[in-house]
Amino acid sequence: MFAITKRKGELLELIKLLQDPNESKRKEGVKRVVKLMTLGKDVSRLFTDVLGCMHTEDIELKKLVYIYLMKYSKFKPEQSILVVNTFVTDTQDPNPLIRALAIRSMGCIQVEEVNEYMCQPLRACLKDKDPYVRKTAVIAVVKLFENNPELAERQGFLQNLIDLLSDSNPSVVSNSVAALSEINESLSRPIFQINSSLLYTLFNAMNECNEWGQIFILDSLTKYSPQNNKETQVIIQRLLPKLTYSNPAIVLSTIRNILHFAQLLDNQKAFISYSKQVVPPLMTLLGSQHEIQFVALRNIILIVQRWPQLLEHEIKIFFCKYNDPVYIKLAKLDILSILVSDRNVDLLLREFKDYSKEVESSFARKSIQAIGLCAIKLEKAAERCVNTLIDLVKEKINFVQEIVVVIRDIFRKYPNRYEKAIGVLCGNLDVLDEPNAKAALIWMLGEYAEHIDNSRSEELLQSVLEMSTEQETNPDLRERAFMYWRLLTKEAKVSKEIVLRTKLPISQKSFLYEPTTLTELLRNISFVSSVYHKTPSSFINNVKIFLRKTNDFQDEDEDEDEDEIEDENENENQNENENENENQNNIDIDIDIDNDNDNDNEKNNQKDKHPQSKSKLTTRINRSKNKEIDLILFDNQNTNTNTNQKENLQKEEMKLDNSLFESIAPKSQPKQLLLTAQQGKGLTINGALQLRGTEIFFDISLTNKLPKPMKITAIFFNKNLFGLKPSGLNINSIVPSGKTIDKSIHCPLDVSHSDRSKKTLSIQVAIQNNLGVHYFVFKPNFQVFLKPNPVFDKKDFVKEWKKIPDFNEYSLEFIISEIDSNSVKQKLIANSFTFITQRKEEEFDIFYFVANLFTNELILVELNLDISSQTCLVYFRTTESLYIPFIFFLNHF
Amino acid sequence: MISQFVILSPRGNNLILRNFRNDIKEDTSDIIFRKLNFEKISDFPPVFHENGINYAFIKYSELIFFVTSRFNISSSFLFDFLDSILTSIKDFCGVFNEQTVIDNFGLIYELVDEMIDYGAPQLTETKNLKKFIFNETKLDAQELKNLKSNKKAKKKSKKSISSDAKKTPISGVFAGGGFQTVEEIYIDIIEKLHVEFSNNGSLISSQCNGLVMIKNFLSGNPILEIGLNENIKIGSPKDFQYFQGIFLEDVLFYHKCDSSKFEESGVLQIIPPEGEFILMKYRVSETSMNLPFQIATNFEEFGQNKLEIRVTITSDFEKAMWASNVQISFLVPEISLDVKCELEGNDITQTAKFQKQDHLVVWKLPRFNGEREESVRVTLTLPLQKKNYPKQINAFQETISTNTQLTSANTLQLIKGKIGPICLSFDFPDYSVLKMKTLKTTDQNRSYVPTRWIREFSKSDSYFSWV
Repeated sequence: MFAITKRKGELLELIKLLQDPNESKRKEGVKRVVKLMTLGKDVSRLFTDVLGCMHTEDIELKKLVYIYLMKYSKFKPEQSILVVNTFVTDTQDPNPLIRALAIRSMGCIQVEEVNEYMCQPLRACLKDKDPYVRKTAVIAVVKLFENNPELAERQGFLQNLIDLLSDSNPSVVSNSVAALSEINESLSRPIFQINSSLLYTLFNAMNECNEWGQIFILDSLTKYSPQNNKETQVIIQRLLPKLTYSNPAIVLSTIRNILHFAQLLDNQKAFISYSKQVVPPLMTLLGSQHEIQFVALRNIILIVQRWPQLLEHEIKIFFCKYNDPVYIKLAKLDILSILVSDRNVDLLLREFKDYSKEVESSFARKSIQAIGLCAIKLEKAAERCVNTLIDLVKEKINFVQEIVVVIRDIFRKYPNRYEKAIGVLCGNLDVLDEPNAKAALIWMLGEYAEHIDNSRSEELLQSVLEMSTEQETNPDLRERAFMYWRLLTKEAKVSKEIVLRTKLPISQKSFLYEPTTLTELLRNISFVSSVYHKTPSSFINNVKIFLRKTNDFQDEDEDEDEDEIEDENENENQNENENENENQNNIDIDIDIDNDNDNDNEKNNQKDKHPQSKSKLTTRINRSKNKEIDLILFDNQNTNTNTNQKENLQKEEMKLDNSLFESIAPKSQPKQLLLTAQQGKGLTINGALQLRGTEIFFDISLTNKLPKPMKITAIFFNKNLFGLKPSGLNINSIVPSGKTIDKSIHCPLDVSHSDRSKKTLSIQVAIQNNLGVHYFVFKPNFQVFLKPNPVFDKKDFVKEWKKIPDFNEYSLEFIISEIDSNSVKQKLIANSFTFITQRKEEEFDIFYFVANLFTNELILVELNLDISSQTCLVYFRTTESLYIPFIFFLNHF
Repeated sequence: MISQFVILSPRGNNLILRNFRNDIKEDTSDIIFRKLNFEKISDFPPVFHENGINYAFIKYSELIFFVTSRFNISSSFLFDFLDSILTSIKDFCGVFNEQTVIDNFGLIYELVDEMIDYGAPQLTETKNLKKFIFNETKLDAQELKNLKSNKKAKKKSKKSISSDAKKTPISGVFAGGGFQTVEEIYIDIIEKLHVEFSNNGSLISSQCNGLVMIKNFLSGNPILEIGLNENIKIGSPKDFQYFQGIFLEDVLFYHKCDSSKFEESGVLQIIPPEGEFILMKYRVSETSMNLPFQIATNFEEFGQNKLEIRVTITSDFEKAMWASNVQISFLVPEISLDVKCELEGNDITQTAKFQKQDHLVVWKLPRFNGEREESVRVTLTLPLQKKNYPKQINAFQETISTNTQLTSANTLQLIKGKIGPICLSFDFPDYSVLKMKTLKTTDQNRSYVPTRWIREFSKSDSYFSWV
């Protein structure tokens, strides 16, 4: 009670302050409001009062009001329009500060009408005589573009930005570069491409503008492809002086560019001489604060993987300092283990040995692993590495377990060479409690059983097999034990050959990045991508998934909540990569379908192609209402809606029926290239899954690129999510040289062939011809798995919805690019979802959909759309695995 | 493009939160706070991503500064931005702590909005920013008092005063405080030494990273001419065999600094920006470095279960100089039953103690003069050896191997393996490779002599010896 009255009192007091005739009192009030806002309190109720303070000469007060306005305007669109006039007047103020402030703040108001009003003043500000106003207006163009790309393009603002690249003021130029590079990523046709003449404009601007402008220019430079060697030389020469700057971001961006352009020279000698010059500044960055050191070290890991010789003489700089934070020590270890060579291995082994004794677990363990890597990489030094490890065991360091695992790997690389280690390890059996270490030791004991006298192996084997066959409940393990048993009873010699056969060799390469990945990572030096060692597409995603059970955040118990969230994060991370990759692959197919279906939606399609403007994650909107109540409401509404609404609804449905009809009729999937001639040794396959009636067919075109005829014998699918399987294995067709034949293979769904643990629609396919078996993976379009038009009414929907327990409900939230809720709806319908009904609640348009799979699973969807903030919140309930609706949804947006 | 900038209090409250792009919800503070306080990872990496959001953070005086972004953005730029925002706040507020942030939040919002617009960085230099800032700096009574006492303290000891002592906000924004603007400039040469010795006292690796930092409170646009050591070469000693001067492996300069005469005469020219900035960073070549201290360790066994460790530190510099706050520390094995520390010599300012909970021996010397040798004797009492393997394993072990039993010969080796490196930390005023020789300020419009505070200083970064 007290808290409420106190808060009310505070609110009243604030209102009083905000309405005070004295300006300094009002300022005091606004200050307090902004303070509360910072603390995360909701002060949206004071909107009108704060707005009242906007008319003022006091810049300090004005700025505070704008900070408030930028945050709350999108929740109060109607009232926000009222302030447009003040903004427009301010953009004509004689004081350039006020003009800039107005145009800067106006762009941050995400209300459509405000955007329209903004165009006129923005055009004036872009041509303002004061550079401060111009540079601010440039950024305002980006704001407008993000809110309404067509408007920005139609009004010619993008062209204005290009013109401003040759502005007299360097800040304006660097902002224009920043703005254009950002906008460029969301356009289908890039409007900003550096050409030879622009290159020199940028170089000149770079010498004038501040550090940050230089970084932008350097970053956009990486995308430029020089016309000839001479130009490349000139670029590198222009870049070299930047290596002596004290700003780490400039230095790293310069290093990226020099390495990148020097490679283009195609002249090994020139490359070496240029690349050598990046080394000293790179080393000096390691004297900076820890954060910069970390970034530099993570980048160096990439550089030394490609060019180890560049830094082989600098090895001592990567020795760990005792007071380095752990993340720095770990990065240094990575570098040292790549740089290790026959020349420096003794020095490094001594370092690694000392590190292995450290208390911090991840560092000590990684140091032990580093010793193992030395052994695997350098055959000559392997003996010394093993001795070092044995010494460490004898010294009884804390992490003997890790040594066991490392020695196992050394054994795999050099079989039958270092059995002496087994004895020492066995002396330390009592410390092994981690499954990994135990497994490693048991493996070694098994492999080297002959060297252990008196090991009583037969007895042991007997009891292990008995235990696994009689007491074990895991069928897989039991079966395996039976298999070994039978093997042993048949003939011991054969079983030895089977069980103890040669193992796959292990090499240092297993720990390095694949060349193409490395090349991409190197092109991202200094960006966050190079710090994570992940390619941008793997963590900058178009659809940001926010998966979490609805129930969890309705739960009041906080402790429990926290645990849950952590679990889910793990889950999510596991799925994320897979899903993202899928998504990437699928965009093109999606677009093609859209083109077939609704030509008038071209704008949307264009946006679809560009990840940045596509859906973005926002966190959840609070959904306080209980689901049960929600459904009742929904029931009532169906019966109680007034006639007017009802009519609208009916009309809507009529229209929908039409579109449903249109979209479904001729939906043939375009064929994708599945197997290239190179992969298929002369055989090329294009194909797609097609739905005819209610049957699925795999339509393929087989092309023979060989000079002689080819015989295709069989096709087979691996187990996949839905159990798709060709009805017959044999094809037996002969493809003449240079010709293509088309085949249509009927593929029914077979439950026994489905694998629900697969979290992707992808199917692995094997095809056999007279030359051998070829494998490829293809990603069918999800639509083929949906029944075209299931008969489903509202009653059924409510019934099914209630059947599924609440805790099986999942939600997904993202920002969509559509600006009208109808087009979202159409999109779903076009993709075989059946529309059930819709209603409106506050700012949300709520739609209900259902999709029925051929496997007779249902996906029930409640789509909450807030078109003003372009937020889309989806709740789904499904009769089957969660991943299915998940995959489906990812394909839509 | 940066999405958010946040200053977080040690308790996890937002002191400043600016959402530039509105594409990320405001619960990022919770996420970062939880990561830093509840994750099991020690030293959480300063840049990471979660749910498609990139985070970069730094810590300063218990506050967490962080930015978020959705883009594959330059990570060094993120830290650079955080640093420069911190520097600007320090310039404008003089001091920097939680209270100043709370008192000056309007000013900080103003600053942040000038420094970043919709995620794109804008103005950086304090001088340029000043034109656009309208809030006045507010300092509470205590800070004002500190400021005054600082001024007095400065007059007393001119030698080696740190630029940190200067806690005055830059001129112009502090009209209400009653201070006159003083024409003064602070120049710090700070060198950090990293040295690693092997257990026999030989040098394994050494590095010396230096920087020249300037705090400028001069008005107008004076040209600063700084003369450093004249005989400097940039590059590797291998390339200049007969050169006798100082080798710097590499030098980075402030981007507006004219360094064309640096190698020839050691002179740098610059029109300094107002407030704090780093003029240059450099790396001294191993051959030009001086190592102020040598570390030696000796072991001796007494009786069945006592081990004595004798650590000797020798200073290798002029008698008249001294290092301060010298501290030597190392870990001893957890199994030690008793640890006794005994100082040699009778210097009463020294202390040597065993900190039981950390298993750490700490030896402190407030002042370490040149050409001296100081020692400490640490005696460990260890448990008597027992074979306490479980029966079964013991039998198993005997069948397999013959030489895993402990013998007294490898006891010392075993215990030594558990003694951590001997770590040395110290501050060393007036000790640096790079020296300031001349400083000229010229202003076309007037002639004046500003107050100049110059400090040369070395400190240990990681100075240790393995045992």
